[in-house]
Amino acid sequence: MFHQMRRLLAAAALAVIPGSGLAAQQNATVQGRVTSAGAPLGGAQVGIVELGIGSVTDAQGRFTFTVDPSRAGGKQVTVLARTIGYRPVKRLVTLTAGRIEQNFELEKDVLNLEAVVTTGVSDATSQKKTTFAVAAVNNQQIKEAPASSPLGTLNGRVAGASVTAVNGEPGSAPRIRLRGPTSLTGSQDPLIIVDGTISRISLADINAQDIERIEVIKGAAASSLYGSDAANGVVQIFTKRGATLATGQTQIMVRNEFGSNDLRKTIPNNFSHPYKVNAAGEFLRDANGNRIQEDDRISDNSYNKVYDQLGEVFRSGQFMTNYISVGQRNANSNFNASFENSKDQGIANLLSGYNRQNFRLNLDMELHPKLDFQTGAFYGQSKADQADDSSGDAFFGLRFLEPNIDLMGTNPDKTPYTAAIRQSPASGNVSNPLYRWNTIKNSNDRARFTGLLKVRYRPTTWLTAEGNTNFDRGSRTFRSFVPLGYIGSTGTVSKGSISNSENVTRAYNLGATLTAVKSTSWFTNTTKLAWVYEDQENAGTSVFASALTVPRVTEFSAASRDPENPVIPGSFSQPIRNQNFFAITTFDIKDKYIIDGLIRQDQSSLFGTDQRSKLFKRLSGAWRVSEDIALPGVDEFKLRASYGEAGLRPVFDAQYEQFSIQGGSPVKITLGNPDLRPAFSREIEGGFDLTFLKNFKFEYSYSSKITDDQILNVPVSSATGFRNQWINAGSLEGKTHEVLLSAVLASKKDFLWSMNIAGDRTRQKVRSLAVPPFLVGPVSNTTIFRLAPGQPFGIVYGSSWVQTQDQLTSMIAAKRLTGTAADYVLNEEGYYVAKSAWRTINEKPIKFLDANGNALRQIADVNPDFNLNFNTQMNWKKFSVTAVVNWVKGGDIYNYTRQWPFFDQRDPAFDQRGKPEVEKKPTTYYATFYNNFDANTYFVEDGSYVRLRELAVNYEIPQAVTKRFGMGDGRTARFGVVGRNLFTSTKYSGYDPDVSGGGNNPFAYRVDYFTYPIFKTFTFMLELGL
Amino acid sequence: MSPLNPKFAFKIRNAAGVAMGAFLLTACNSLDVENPNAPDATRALADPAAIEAVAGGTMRSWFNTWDGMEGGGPLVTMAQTYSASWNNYNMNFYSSIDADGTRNARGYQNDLASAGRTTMIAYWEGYYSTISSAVDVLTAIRKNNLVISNAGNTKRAETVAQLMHGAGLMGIALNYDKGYVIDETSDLAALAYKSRKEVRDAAVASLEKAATLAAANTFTTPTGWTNGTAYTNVQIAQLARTMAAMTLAYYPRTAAENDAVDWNKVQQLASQGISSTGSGFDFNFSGDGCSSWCHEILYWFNAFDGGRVSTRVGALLDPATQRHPYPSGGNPRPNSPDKRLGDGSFGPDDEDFAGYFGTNPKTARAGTDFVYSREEIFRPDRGMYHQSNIGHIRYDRSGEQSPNGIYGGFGVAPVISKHQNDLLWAEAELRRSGGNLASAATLINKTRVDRGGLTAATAAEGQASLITKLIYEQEIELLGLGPSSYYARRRVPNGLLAGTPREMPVPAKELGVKGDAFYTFGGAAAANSPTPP
Repeated sequence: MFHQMRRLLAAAALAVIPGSGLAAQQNATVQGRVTSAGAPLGGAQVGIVELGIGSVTDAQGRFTFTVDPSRAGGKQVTVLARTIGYRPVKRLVTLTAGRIEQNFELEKDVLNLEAVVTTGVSDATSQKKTTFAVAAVNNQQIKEAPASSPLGTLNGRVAGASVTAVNGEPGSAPRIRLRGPTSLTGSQDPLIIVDGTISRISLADINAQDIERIEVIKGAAASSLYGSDAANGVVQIFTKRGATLATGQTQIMVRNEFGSNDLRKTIPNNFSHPYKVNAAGEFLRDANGNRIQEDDRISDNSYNKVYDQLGEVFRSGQFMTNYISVGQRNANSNFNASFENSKDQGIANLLSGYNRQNFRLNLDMELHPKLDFQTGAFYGQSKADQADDSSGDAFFGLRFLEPNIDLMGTNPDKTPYTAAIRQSPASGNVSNPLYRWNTIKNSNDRARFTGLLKVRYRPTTWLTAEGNTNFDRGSRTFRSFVPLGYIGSTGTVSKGSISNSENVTRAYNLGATLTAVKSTSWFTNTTKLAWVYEDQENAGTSVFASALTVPRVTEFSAASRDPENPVIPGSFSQPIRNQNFFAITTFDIKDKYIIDGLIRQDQSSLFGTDQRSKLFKRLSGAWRVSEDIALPGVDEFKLRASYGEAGLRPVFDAQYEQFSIQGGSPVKITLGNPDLRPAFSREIEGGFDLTFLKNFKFEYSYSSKITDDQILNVPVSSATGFRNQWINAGSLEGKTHEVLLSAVLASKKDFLWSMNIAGDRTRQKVRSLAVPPFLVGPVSNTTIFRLAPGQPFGIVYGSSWVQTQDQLTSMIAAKRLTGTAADYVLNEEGYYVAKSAWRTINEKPIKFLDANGNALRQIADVNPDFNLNFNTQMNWKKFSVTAVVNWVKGGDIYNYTRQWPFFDQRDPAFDQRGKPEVEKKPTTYYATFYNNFDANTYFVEDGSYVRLRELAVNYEIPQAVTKRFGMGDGRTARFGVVGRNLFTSTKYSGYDPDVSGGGNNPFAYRVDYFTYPIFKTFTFMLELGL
Repeated sequence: MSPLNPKFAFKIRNAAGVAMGAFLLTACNSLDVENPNAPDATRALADPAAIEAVAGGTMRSWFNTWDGMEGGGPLVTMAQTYSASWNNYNMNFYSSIDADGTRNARGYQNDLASAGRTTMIAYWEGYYSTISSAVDVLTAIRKNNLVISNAGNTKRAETVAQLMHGAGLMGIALNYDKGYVIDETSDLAALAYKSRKEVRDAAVASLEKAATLAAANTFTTPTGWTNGTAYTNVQIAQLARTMAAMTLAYYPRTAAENDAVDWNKVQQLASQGISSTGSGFDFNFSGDGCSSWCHEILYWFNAFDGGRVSTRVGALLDPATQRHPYPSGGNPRPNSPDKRLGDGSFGPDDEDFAGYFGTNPKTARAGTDFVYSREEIFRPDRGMYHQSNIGHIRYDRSGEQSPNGIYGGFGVAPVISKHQNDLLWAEAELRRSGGNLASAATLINKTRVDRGGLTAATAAEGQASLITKLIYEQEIELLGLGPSSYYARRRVPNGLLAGTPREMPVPAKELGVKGDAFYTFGGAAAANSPTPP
């Protein structure tokens, strides 16, 4: 960590006085004390900027370091004292032999104005001097209510960062999109770097409590440094290393959280039916035993018995984390070790959910004043019994159940939970999740190891050489066991099955950099040259046995050897190699003007053979206006602008000509493309940072981004025998406004109240497409999002119903409807229907056709008008309150979770009880909206919501109390309550408006698609500082 | 600058050495990575064994297309042959009937932005995939002189590739208004559409060429090529002729086109087809649970919960009990004179099984092909025309919806049956000038009497009566053998509901690639293209 301290010191340099001949022959010893509000500040860094010499304060805030005689000869230098969370103080000191006493009093930096960032820049840089927007979230903001996944901590804290849960399944990682989209059909995931390790594996395995800070850059204007994999932005995570501790300090932190998860909201069923019943409420039957429909087909008869099916399928689940970390800092080393055990049962009955254990050890050592190294290792393992094997069957079947079906019955083979749903008219869509969860065993076990080694050598004060290697290995073992005798929902008994798949991703990266920092009287130049090599292999094996021969044997020994029920093996491997070079240089002129430029060449095995390398550039600058022009009330005013380029790499097999081996013989599938290039994103970002009245900070950024060479899998002529080809075939543009307002609303001795408001608005459209318009997402067999030039990205294409007079008139004029407007009437639900059919069994909505007879048009836009996030922190005496509120305004959701169950009349819309008799509609009226499952306006809903995403109230127990429990001085104890997703205000009718069912693009495909519902969590927390 | 501690200096030198080694190591790691998961043409088409596998694979890809549901599901339900309320493969959409009893709003949705577009794509891609692979084999053997272990095996691969080349063109000719004719001499960059008639003629020519090749060589196909059954060169020749007869007989879109068929040629071909010698043979493959080999039409429609026989066909089997359209409350148990339905009883009296489909334990009058289920699998208000009490279980070996039978995608699946050839032959005798009505009656009776237990047809009945009985057999006996009943019968005598398309346009996907305008058939548009000259 010592090198980092030096970087921090260097970054904050205001001026450098060139060295000259020094006459002194004795050491100068600089010593003193760093305090804040009179209290000692341990762990603060104090040093001489120009010489890169310094030390760290001990627990009493004391520091001391020595300058050798050759440097201490009457020279005037800048002594800087700083620590995270406080405003640095610098002081000019003349170095003379002997003892020099300097004390520093630091003020809290509540607005984080002095944060130093390292992402996307040539070297550690104060945020005051960055030429583009870099967001930083530190441990102080995370620790009050740590999310289960690191990405979750960005929610509501970073302007332009949209974080959404793919589903509520415990152990699933949220997805993040930074600023606007860059890819039409590929991933919007940013590049994730954890302690220098380029991570290609889910962050679900990493716990948020280990995080020291997160830095985020959002687009090519900033992320060019990371080249062909960074157009979606970069999230860099730094874990705790013990570096912020006071010298000699050992810190042990034990944190336990325990609470429960609960379903936030239920979706109502249709609790009535349209069938004839006898006096006892039992169904009347025809000669074939089928129910007899009422002549009016109105669903307003009550079932004679209904069950609380959602109450049986969902339950309160346990949520628990146990976390312990030990950090220590000594004269020449610091380390942090941590262990976390977490358990998240989710809310699915019968399932134990997700259980994870994580170990982490980070160690920094100074081997020599010029040589230090970092090392670290992480091991995590998790087990989960999944509610779904991603097929969605459990939550799908649940939505089709009539409410009179008893899920808790016993089957003929004596197993619990009704398996065969034999209720006529039968629907093959129904299933009992409880029977599935009790009988089928789906397990998803993951293991992760990462390791890093970084060596830094500083042969001179201006040159640093660094080498690093990082290793990351993650494995996922998915196992599914369907026992012999498993009963399907139709009553058929299967021979069971076993499937086992293991996917392993192994990645390492090697890097070497040379960083030179040279200063003159009026500028400082930082130049870095780097080489990065990435080697990754994704590999997987799978075995599937489609039938078993004996019961209760869960291994493949039970697999049938019947040739008609073969055991099917499978495997794949994807070797990927990248080699990248870059050079970046930054000029800091008079501490006012910053100019930055970089060039990077990426070579990747993922590019087509004739396009093996790609060049990326960046040019950016900033002007600290307030250094030149004094503005009343303005503390800091910086204008910044940046142009940058970055890319998106093709997926592994995109470039290759591919024959699929089907039934033992090769079949043409994909035409190869040796000219396949990475998608190329160009972004201009401009904005300003304004700090005013000491307590307010306002940041504004505007981004205009164009991503050309979209990598699309497009059809080719079938005459070739091939189905498709990956080509660079389109362009996508996005324009984003981002604002961040930080304010200290109160700052008194016992009361501190701060607030952040982060907002963004993105508009995006397809600029061009080299192929005809086509539909994509959310899943391969249900595509409703249209990609067409000139159209926004995120448009749902479907049909609509006649709801306006104009529509009616045009339909009649085009002779799509007979008669005159007087022959139609607007019904009680806002749909035009034939007057003759109104309030009869024949009443039906009318599908709108334009003059050309086309029914399909844009019916929804999933893009929100804006996102606004509120994040507040309040400290009053021993209490602290943290709250994060997300407001998503606008943006549609397409609700398949409603539409598909219309198939079986399983939606409260069908329930006509309570309506005036004449207004009741027949089931056939509502069934029209089902529309063969094709998208239509009936199922488009407003996706706006306001969510209290986090609320934490903590109380620090007074020492007078803790001492009674044997805790000595300096030991702390806090307890509190933490709520996550406690409250959501929305008109959306589904479980939760934060939906992203199906597909890999939850932001462009905002669709509700039978996923595990997102739930709320309420826990109690106890934290001990030992 | 302080001198380095020698101990550390040594370590630094070591570290630098390691770093340099790492750099060199990685620098030597080529970025040219071969795809280990799937071959390219250089690996798939260069090796004789791989070419032989490609040749065999043409049969599998053709089977799976011919019997696939993406194209076939809508066709068989639009023809009111089978019926399903499911909308998988857009079946519900394309087979639903408008309020006025027509299908006026049900033209093919041939637009890349339409959900229903996939119906037109499946056959097009599947048949051209087959044709392309066949051409690869023919190119390798005929132009590149590739030898597959020996001359016999080479000829075997060449013959089967020629057969499937013709079968693929047949699939295009029967279904689309135009298409490409591709062979080993084609320039793919300069392809132009050929009319459906030209495609038909190319298909027949190719199939006849396959028959000639097969007759001139001696071989037996590997069982792996059909996942079960081996065929001799003699059988392959017969099969090629049956397919050529199918191409001609199933081609017409209208009655006028049907009249124009060269029925003499059909007779000539069918009389040398797969039922022409001995007891004949069926052209089969075996399902593997739809992993690689899948008769999807049987997988769906030999399952009570997948689909049923349309009440139109049910009424043919037992007009006394099975009313068409489906009446409210459903139809009662049948008592069909046709042994293939009988009283519709089925399976054991097993609660697990019958509980879902309605108890109807098997009796001595149980049918061989059809069963009766009193249970409605969908609410009738989704469309009474989707409802039926009659299910087709002929190819589900146990008749019990066994997961190990066709219900689960396993077992022998007929593609072209010998009786299909009989009926082609019979139709040719009935329709050609100077046809032999006695022969036609005999051919019809092979299934009418032997399998159906119905009174024998005789020449004395005359042509019209025999054609009625022929059509009945085509409807009942050929049910499930691809969507041929749709093509063969329903579109020719105007048996389809108004608005139902009679052929497919070139898929929008292909039109889009070529920059051509979208067009379609059915609904408000014409049902089919004009008869090509």
